[in-house]
Amino acid sequence: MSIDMKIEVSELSKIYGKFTAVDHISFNIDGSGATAYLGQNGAGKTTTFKMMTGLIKPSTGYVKIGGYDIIRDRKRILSGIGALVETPEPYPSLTVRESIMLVGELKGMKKKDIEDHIENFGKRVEIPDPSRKVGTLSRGQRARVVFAAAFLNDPSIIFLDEPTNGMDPAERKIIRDVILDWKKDHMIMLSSHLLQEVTDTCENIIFINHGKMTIQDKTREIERRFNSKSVRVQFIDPVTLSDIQRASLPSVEKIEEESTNSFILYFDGNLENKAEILNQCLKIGRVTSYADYESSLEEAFVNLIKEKQ
Amino acid sequence: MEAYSSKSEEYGYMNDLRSMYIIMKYQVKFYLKTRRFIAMLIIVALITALTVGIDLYEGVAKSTAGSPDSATFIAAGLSGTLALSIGVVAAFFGGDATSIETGTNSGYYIMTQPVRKISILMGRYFAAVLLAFALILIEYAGVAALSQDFYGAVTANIFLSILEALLLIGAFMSLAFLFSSVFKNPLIGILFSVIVFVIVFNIISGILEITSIEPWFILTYGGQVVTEILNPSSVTHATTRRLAAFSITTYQPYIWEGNAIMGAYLTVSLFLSYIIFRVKEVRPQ
Repeated sequence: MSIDMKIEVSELSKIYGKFTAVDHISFNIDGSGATAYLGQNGAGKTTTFKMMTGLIKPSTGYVKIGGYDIIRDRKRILSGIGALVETPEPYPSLTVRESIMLVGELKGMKKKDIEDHIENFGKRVEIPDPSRKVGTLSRGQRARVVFAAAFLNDPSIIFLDEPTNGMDPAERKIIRDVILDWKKDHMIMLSSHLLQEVTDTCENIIFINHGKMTIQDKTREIERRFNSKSVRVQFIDPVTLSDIQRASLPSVEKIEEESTNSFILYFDGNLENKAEILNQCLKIGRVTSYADYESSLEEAFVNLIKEKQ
Repeated sequence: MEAYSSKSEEYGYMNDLRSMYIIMKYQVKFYLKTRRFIAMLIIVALITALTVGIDLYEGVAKSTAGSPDSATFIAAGLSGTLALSIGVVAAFFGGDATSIETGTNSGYYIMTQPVRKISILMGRYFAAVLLAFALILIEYAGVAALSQDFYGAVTANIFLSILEALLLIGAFMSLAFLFSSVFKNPLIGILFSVIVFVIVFNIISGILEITSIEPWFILTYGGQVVTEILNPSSVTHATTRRLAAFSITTYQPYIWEGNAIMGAYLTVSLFLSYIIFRVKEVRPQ
C-alpha cells in the first residue's frame, strides 16, 4: 500500500461545545520535504493532527491524504503513513520487540522485515534492548521505541507531533538527523515547540494561532519577512560602552553590555541599517562575531501571535 | 502529484479478521505477563483446591451417599463456585478492555495504526475469553479428577457443561467490556464489574426470590444451566415452599431459557460496547 505524498486540508474545524479548537483551517502540501506546524500551547496543533490521522472526526471540512478521505479510507491511509500523535504509550507488559512487531504486523509487514527494521532503524535511533519490557523504560527510551514504530513499513508520509518531547539533547539530535535524512524522499509534517528544531529541519512552516491558520510559507521567507531586530557583536579586544555610544550606529535605540567585548544592539530590523552597523563596529575594533541575537523565526513567531491578539 | 513507491506495495491490504487475530495474539501475550493473570490463576487454583479439599475431607462415603452419580457430584462441586470464578475472572480481564485505549495514552499507539475499532474490540474479546476459559478449565479438571477417583467415571455431560461455561464466560465478558466502554478509568471499570457480578446480581436474585419473581433478566440466574446441564432431568423450573403464612417460589431456568439469557447478555452488551467504543475519542486522564 503506497500513498501519494499529498495532503489536502479544507475548511477543517473542530468544535467542542462552545470552544472552537480548530477554526476553518485549509492548506495543501505536496511532495517530499518537511513542513512544521507551529503554534502556542492550545493553539490546535494536536487537534489538527488527530483529525488528519482519523483519531477524531472534524466538525466541518475534510482531510485528504494521497487523494483519499481520512474518514472514508482511514485504514487505507494509515497503512501507508506513519503517525506519532500526542504521547503514545505501548502496552507496558509487552517487550520493545513485541511492541514494534505488533505495529508492523498490523501494517501487513513480514516478520523478517520487521526484525530488519528493529535491527537497522532501531540501532539508528538507539532503541533499548528489544527484550526489555516497555514498562521498565524511561520516557525518552519509550519515545524512541514509538518513533521507531512510526517509521515501520517505509511510510511515504509521517506525522510527528512533538517527537522530541521528553528527550535529552543527545536523543533530540538522533531524531533530528533521522528527519533530515528521511525528508529527502518522504513527506514529514512536524509539530514542535522547539523553534531551533524547526529551523534546522523544516523548509516550510504553517502557523496556527487560537485555532486559526495565520500563515503558510517557506521557512526562509518567514524569517526574511520578520527580520531580526537585535544583533550581538563581539570584539576580540575590550571595548567601552561609550565607544559604542559614540559611533554613529543607524537606528540603534538600545545597547546592552554583556561583557567588556560583547554587546547587544537593538535596531529597526532594516537590512541596510544592519549592514551599516557592522561597518561602524569594524571601525571601533576587530569584530570576531556579528549575528542575530534572537532567532528570527522566534521573533516571527512572537510577532504573529501579537498580530492576532 | 509526486508518486511514491515503497516496499509496502508487496504487503497488500490487510483484512479485518487478520487484524483481529493480531490484536488477539498480542493481547494474550500482554495478559500472560500481567500480575492480574497470576492473581487470577492463584484465585481459581485456590477455589479449586478448596472444592476438592472439602470433598476429600468429607470422604468418599459421604460424598457418594449425598451424590449418587458423577453428574450430580460434579454439579454439586461446581454450583457454589463456578459462577463466582467466572464473574471475577471476566471482571479482571474485561473491566478495562476498551478504557485502556480511550482513557490512557496506549490509545495513541494502536489507534493510529491501520486497524478498525471492531478488530481491536473483537481481538481483545477473544483473547480475554480464551484466557478466562483456560483458567476455568482448571476448576473443571479438579472436580473431574475427583469424580474419576470417587466413581471411576466422569459424566459425558461435563463437555456440555464446559460449553455452557464458555457461553457464560462470553456473556460475563461482554458485560465487563460494556462497563469498560462506559468508564474512562480502567480501574473503575474493573471494580464496577466485580461489584455487579459478585454482589449486585446476588442481591437482586435474593430479593426476587423473596418476592417469588423469576429473575429471568439476571445473568447469574441464566448461568445456572452450566451445572443443570450435567443432570437435566433433575431440573424443576418452579419450586414453592410454604413458610408459615408465606409461600416462596424459587426458580431454576430451563436449559433453553438459560442459554437465551446468556446469549442475550453476550450479544447486546458486546454490541453496545462496540457502539460506545466506536464513538469515544482517546482522552487520557
